[in-house]
Amino acid sequence: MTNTPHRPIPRFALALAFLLVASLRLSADPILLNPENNTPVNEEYLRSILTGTERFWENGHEVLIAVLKNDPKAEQALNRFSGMTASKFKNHWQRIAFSGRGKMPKQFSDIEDLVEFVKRNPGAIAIVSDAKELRGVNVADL
Amino acid sequence: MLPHIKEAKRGLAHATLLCLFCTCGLSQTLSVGGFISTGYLESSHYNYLANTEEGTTDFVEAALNASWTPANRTTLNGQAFLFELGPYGNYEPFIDYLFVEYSYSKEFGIRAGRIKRELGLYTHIQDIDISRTSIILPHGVYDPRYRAFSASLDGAAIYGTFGLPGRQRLTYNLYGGHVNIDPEGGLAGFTLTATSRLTIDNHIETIDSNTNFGAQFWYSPGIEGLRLGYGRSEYYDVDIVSHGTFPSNIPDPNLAGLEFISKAIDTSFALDQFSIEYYVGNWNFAAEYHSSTADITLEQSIGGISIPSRGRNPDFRAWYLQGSRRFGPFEIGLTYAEEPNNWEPEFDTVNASHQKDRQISLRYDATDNWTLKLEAHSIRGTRRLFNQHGQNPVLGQDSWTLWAAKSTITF
Repeated sequence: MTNTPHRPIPRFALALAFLLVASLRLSADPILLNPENNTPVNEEYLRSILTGTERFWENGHEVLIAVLKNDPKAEQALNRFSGMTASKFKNHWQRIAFSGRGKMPKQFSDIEDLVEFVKRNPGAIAIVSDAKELRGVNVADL
Repeated sequence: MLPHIKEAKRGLAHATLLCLFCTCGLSQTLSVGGFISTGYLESSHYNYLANTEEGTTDFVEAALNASWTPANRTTLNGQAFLFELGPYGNYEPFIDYLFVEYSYSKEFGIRAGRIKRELGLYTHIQDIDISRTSIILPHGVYDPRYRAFSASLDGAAIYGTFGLPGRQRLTYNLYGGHVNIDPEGGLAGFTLTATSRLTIDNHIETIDSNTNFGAQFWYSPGIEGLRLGYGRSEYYDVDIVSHGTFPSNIPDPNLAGLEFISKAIDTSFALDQFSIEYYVGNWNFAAEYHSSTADITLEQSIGGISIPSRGRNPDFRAWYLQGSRRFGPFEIGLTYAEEPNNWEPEFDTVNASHQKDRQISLRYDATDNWTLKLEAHSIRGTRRLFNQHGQNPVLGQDSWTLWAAKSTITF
């Protein structure tokens, strides 16, 4: 029987693993909810919300979607969660809103206005690219 | 349209508009929107939808809608709508939908009032130009002249979505109610077209319907962007009575000046529609197959003497294939639509038995709220041409072209 020498994990492998975990963490997309809304949101539930299938939260408040315009990262996140391009998403909601089956997502150019909207409306939900500096809203990373 | 019905409709439309504005201050969950859509149509031959042979701007739609959530899981939704499409619409505002909705859960909700009627991909959004690439929806499957009895109904619906294993989903919408048929609308136009090439002074004496029931199912098999649909809609107790008079210059002098009456009583229609839609990235594909059957008991008389009915129960079929791709603010779409030869030729006019349409559409979203479209149709056959106003007295040309342009502003 031979003794296998203990081989330390190379430093570069540790560094690589750290970077990988960090990049995964950085790629998480923050979801903003009203502070009163403690509903656990996973990707499947979020998709139901963004496609208009789930129109009310568990507490009965109506879902109100807020979208940040001209932010490619937020757009990318919307694409990831809804499975639709930005134009398809808009088109999808125009079909819903103009047949009386839901409210058109609100569009915001300014993130502060978007955050204010989420704070004011108990059923509001928004996807942003960075929530580090945001206060007064629930943030869930997916 | 009868004056009191007209007056009532106008009153209802104004009341809804007032309600929509009055609710503006009630809640932050009130959402107000709308659109104004203006267009142009021109054709190389024939007058299709409007007086297109000379080019026309009688191609307008406008809507104002509001959705208000007065309580948890409860919404009140309404839309006032007006349109102009050649002889139809005449800019008279009316209630497109006005209903209260309670959504108990994702799986079960209920709507009551004037609700949108769902059949296939576009029936409930046929007026919403911005919801699609093309300007004109495939005729045979969707005909804008029939909107009076295809777009909405007064009744109730239940709806919901069930999750199935592996990200599959099943969505349903079951509805029933009463449908209003406009005596100056498309069904009247279709009816009078049949007699208008033989008689003059044609008019509808009665056009009425009783009930409409229907169901629409959508199945998503768990493949991103793909859904398959089946819808069925049945109309019962539709009564249509039309009158006409044989002209003095008719070849058979015995008929000259005699009145021709056609009565279709307690007619029922059944419509079936199969749909498939798939989107991936900037591509969008759709195809639909539509069939409808009618159970008609026809009583006809000339000068008060009954004549044997031809006893036909028409069976219509139509289908289309559509593909579109987005390039930034532009979208280009191709459609092939066909209503095959499934109807006995009227008055030996062979090309009136079918219609085939190759269509190219270009959409440009100039801003977030302004969309422009251009479209060209290369058409063979004359199946969808009406003649109730004498707009297409002779159907001698098989191939013809239709151009359309549209500008839509949303708010």
